[in-house]
Amino acid sequence: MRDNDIRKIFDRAVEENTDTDIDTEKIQNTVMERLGKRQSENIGFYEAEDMEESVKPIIVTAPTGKSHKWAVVVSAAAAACLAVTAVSTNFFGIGGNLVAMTGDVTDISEQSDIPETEGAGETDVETGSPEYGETEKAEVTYDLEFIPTSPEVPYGSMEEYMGNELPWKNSVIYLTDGVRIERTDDTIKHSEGQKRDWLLSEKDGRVYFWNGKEKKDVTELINIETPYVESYVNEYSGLTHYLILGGDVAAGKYGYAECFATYDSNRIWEFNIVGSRNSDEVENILLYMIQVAIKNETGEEHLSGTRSFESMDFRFNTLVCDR
Amino acid sequence: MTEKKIIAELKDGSTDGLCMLISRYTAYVSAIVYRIIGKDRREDCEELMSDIFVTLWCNRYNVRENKVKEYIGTIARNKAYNFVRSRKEELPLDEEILFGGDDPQSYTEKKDTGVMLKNALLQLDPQKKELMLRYYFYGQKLNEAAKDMNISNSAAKSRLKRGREELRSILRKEGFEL
Repeated sequence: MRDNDIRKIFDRAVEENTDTDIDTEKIQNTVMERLGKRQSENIGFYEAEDMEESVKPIIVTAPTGKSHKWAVVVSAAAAACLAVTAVSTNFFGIGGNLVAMTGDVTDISEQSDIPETEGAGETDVETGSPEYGETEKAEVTYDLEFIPTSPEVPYGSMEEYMGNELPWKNSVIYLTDGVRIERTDDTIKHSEGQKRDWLLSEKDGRVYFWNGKEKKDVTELINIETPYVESYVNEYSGLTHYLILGGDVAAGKYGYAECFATYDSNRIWEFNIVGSRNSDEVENILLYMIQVAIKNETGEEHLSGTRSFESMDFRFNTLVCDR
Repeated sequence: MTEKKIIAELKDGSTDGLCMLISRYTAYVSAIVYRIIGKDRREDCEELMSDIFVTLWCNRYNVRENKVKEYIGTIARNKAYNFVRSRKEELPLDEEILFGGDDPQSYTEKKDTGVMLKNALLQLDPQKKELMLRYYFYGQKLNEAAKDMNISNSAAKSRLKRGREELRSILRKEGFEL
């Protein structure tokens, strides 16, 4: 008899005797309330897959800085994700399945025209339509000027921006587990680091975290609801890195992600979650942890979405936009 | 609605899909939770149940067809198990947990699997029985169970193997279809 057969017998024993006094409707209501609360607590963390197919066309506008604005007009939230990716591609020189938007979201389901932004550059982006499987064009319009929010980022036009040596361009960033990220104008190389197991280790049912300075027993600090976060300043780049732990220790499904924030010309914080070698299941847990952690760390409200990258370079890339 | 459709809805981010799963699995999940935390803790059970379904929602992309019950069951066991441990309470480790803490006299009214399993477990030596309950009912890892029982991993492994064989033999003798 195999393991699974015995498990099934134990399960059947439970299943055959399930008289309960628990009110299903009450549980449904509590869960829905909690999910509602969770969404408002983390304003705007939506995964692309979470966005409803029925979402009407929307305009997503950037923060209202006088010389900084862009607009994306799409016919579905999922398309917006791709459109914004295109914007970020233009600005960063990187691509990916990133979704992030900020500012006011206006339902323009009654509007048919795409608003124009004076003096803006334009590009067409092929997007997924609300009827999956079809594609359509969504127009992305953005202003080329920007206001820097980081003192290191020079103020100026997009032209100046592209020509300037920004602090995170041509930089090398080292992660805690030894991964080296080399960033040039339009490429990002991500080295294979050391095996990261030593950052989180398990002994006698306890989980220990080596944060580069000390080994901590984090067994009770890791759970599936609240992230455990440590931050440090990377001595090479000057960027603040966040080490985010989370998951279910008892189930053996836990892990950590490391992310750091840079700024782009749209006053967007770019969180690159890198170096992760967790299982998909753990990454899903961490994704939520990261979302909560970023909100907690920045104290900012934002609209953001995330999707995982298929490449090893960037498993998750979350743009968090301040507003 | 088929389970396949419910999972598709769930993965599409529809809370309707979640509500359907809550409706379908409330009895099953509460049965697991009550068995672990005790039948007289209704409020705790309700709270844990909402935790369980919120966790399911957070991990909905991992839910696979034909594995929903198993997945929810694992979450439920883990949550209830952690609940008991976090309060430093003793895990119920006798065969009674298979019946949810009801009056033993009512066993005869219970359905076959539970009765047979209980009788079979009673014929194992206490350590094997405890190991089987920890491993198969609570879903503890073997090394964790070994640690909690103060035995070596290899002893736990061989004890589990022997226990499994004995259980199979007893259940067959009782006429249980494996």
